[in-house]
Amino acid sequence: MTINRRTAIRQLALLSASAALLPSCMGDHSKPDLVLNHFTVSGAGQLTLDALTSTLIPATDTPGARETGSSLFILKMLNDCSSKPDQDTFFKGLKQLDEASRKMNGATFADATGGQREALLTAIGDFQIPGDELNFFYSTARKLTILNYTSSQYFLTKVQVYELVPGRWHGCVPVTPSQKSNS
Amino acid sequence: MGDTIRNNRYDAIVIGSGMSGGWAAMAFTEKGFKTLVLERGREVRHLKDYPTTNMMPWEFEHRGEIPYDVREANPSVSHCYAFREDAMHFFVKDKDHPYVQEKPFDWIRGYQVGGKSIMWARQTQRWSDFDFEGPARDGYATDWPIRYKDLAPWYSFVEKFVGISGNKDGLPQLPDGEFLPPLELTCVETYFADFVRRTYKDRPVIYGRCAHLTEPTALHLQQGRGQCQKRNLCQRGCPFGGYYNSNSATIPWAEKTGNLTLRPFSIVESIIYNDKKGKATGVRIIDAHSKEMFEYFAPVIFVNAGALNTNLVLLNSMSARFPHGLGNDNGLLGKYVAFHNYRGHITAEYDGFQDRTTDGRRPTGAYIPRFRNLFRQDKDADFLRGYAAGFSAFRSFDHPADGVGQTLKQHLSAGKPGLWRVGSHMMGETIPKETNQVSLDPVLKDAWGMPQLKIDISYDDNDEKMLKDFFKQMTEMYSAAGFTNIKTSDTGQAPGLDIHEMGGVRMGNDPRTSLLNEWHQLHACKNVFVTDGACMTSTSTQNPSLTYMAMTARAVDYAIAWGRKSVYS
Repeated sequence: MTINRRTAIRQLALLSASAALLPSCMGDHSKPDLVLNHFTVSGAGQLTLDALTSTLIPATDTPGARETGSSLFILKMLNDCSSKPDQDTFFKGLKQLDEASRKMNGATFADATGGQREALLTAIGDFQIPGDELNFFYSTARKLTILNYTSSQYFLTKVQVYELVPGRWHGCVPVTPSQKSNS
Repeated sequence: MGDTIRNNRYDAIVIGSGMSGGWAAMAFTEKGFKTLVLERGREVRHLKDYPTTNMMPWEFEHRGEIPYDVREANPSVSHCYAFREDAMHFFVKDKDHPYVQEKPFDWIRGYQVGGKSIMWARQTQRWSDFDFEGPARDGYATDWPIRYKDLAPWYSFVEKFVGISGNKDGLPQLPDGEFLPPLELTCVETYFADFVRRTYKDRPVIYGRCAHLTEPTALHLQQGRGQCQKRNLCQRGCPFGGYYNSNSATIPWAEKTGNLTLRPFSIVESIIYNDKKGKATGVRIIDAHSKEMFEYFAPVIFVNAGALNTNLVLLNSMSARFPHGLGNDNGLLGKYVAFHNYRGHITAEYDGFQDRTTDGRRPTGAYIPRFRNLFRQDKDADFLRGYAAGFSAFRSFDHPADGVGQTLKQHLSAGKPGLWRVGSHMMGETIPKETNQVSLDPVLKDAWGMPQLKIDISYDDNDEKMLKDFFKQMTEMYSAAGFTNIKTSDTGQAPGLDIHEMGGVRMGNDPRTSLLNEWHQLHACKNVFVTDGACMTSTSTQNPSLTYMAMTARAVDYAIAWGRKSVYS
């Protein structure tokens, strides 16, 4: 777990190079706004995103997407590697996730129960809830959550071990049941 | 040679420190010649200046992706497959070094010591006389003034030093060289190679020869290089020196002689021609930082600035004798530029070998030498020349990424071997034409006051026909081999992205139709040699770096013998 906290902290450190944490004057007072150079994320927005990543890949007896720092990673990738229109669409979709949650469960996404959150995300994934922005937001956030998790230090040292220096190459070997990748 | 460095005097000046410049530097300094190497970019020291080489995937803040504003500001280099977060510091950004695209052309450059030899794809196939005799046989470009026998001993010399992994395949169209052991082909590659060999008599599928130390010799260990560790992260620079670049081999070797002066941040403005002496006397540079001009002098000058920049330097070297650029009596300097057509890709799947997979990583692949119009013009071909092809087959590993919550989490960590996926890309010869050319923009300058290069290069009808034929022949071979879900794609990429631009200062026997003679000397200014891609009369289909290196070693050997009778006496 310490490894993953360290990863998360490192990502926060990377973020803070171009971001400042400012207190918000309105809305959810529990978490300050996160100001990146292309957009500002409200405290509520951050909580929604955090709930989304930990719903997608929850912590069990092993770390989940929250522990690998997925929500900050999503915001960093969105800020640094996306166009302005894509950023705008993403945040419209983020709002729509809360609206959909209120409609379905009578609570914001972050405040809904785990079961309600999973059901809602499954419905969006099955395109049962209309909204181009919502679908764009969900597919983007989901893709980046999976990318963050599967390329995290935790995953690549404990689940599917990444070898920086394989030192070997065999072009045709028997498949073994324990194999987790072929590179 | 004596004390020649006083007054900025050297025995030889080499412009550029990349693939061919590194060889010129080593060949001169080893023979005791005080040599100045002018490099327009920064110093890159082997090991020390590979900042990303040992980074783990999670240490890249964008996991390899290039930030949006960098992509937007630099569209051409952003098209390059290797311009990723781990190697982007070795690539020139369009914005910093602008050029004029009369037609779309992605000019991919590496301005640093070692040039593009740091990020190259390391494929090293020899030419044969089926390549050198192409223009004469098929009536295009102009006849090469050299043949395979002229270059063969130099290929061997270079290969021994560089370290080339390969099989002795015994093919007349792709002569064998001095090979280190090959790496294995995958099950499906071997299957396809056997199948194609049985089915088509004249279409070998072989292990691609490449510049990797699969088993270093004493000569490689002496360079400080070691065995390739199959990291497949070559573009970052290799901490083992497992693949070849100038930085790990020729440049440090030249430095050890004590005869090398390497001057980074030196933008060559022009080659100085002395009308009275009737020869080039030196090189004028602009210091990249101070923008001050300096002049350096030497009896012999090698131009290895990288094909199109070599054209730029010569075009900008104007004098009373050569008002249109050095050696440009016939007006052909900058013309007959050609490249390789890399637009064709074809992928498929194979459902055999379900109980087999691969282990480790392989930084190389299989190779299909040119088989169309090879020994003669094929009756069913409506185009000139042909294409080689890269080929590879790997078993995918499927990590299903569906579901939400624990389901998704379990899927991500489970995974199982998927289908074998095969892929191939074409490397087509393009026909040099007078209209495919580069010139100096009369108005636009770069930040150092150098004219911007105006690039006017495009595909032609022959390229389109060849692309269609690649799809047709490969689809037929794939289908016959039992591959399924065959998909062809035309990347539609602009010329230049192949990073095999060649010509503009072509070799030939006749000074009326070529710029360089059989020894790479400018016909009209014999103490200036060009041995990078600019010298190429035609392109054939092989990855060209090995040929540039062999040509450079041969030309320096000649320059020294020639110089002793003339400029050094």
